[in-house]
Amino acid sequence: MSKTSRTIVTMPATAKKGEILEVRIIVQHDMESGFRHTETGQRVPRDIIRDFRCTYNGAEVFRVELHPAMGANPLIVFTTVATESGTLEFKWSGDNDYASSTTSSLTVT
Amino acid sequence: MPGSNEMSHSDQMLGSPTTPQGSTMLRGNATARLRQVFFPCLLGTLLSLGTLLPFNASSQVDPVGSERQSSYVLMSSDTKAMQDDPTLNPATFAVLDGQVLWQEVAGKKNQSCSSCHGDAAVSMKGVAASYPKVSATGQLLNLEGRINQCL
Repeated sequence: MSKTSRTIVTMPATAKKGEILEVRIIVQHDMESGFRHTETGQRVPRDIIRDFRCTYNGAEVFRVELHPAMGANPLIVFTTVATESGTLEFKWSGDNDYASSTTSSLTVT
Repeated sequence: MPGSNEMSHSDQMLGSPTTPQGSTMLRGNATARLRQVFFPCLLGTLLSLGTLLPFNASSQVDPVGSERQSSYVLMSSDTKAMQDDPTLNPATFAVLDGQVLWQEVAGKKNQSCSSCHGDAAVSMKGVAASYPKVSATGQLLNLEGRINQCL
């Protein structure tokens, strides 16, 4: 049974030009570190999100490399400057061909 | 494996903080529950030894009564703000998973929870806090056991 992986993005929908925006993203993912063992002694293989990118109207504004030390359901909070109206696109990629993306639109006055 | 995506476009919270549906969180004092079991037993033995004293059954079974409070009221305002914000709280996913499971068909009767209980926000309000409890047969029943009884 494949697990659901929801993403929740929280950021303001409107901003003034030049204003600092705080973006909060949390994604549902077990982030299996690869260091755990089952009761029978088998190692549970690593299954984590490796990469997160945020592009603002196509230009990359933020990038995160995630490693096994990150816990489950990683929360990322970052800031960016509102320059123009458009869409922010968020992409995650990870082990076992994990890929997730979501967008959020922003109106800059 | 891209799943369903949800977004909140405003900087407001995702709705007001509510009791998570289908949650197994225990509110209140666990030892108070045990007292509810032991107090009647103690009183039963005392009454059988002494005179018949009229007593208010509800006050003896529930000694805390209206003074019961969640430790939420004891938190600092920073901690309260952190707990209230569903965008920061990973337990939001458990709530959303619960909403999906509520509609899923399971068990030998091939029913979903919603087919009998309807809207969980109405029918299951405050239910999780009453478990574990002693069932009619005298056995300790937790929420998982109660769900198994339904199925």
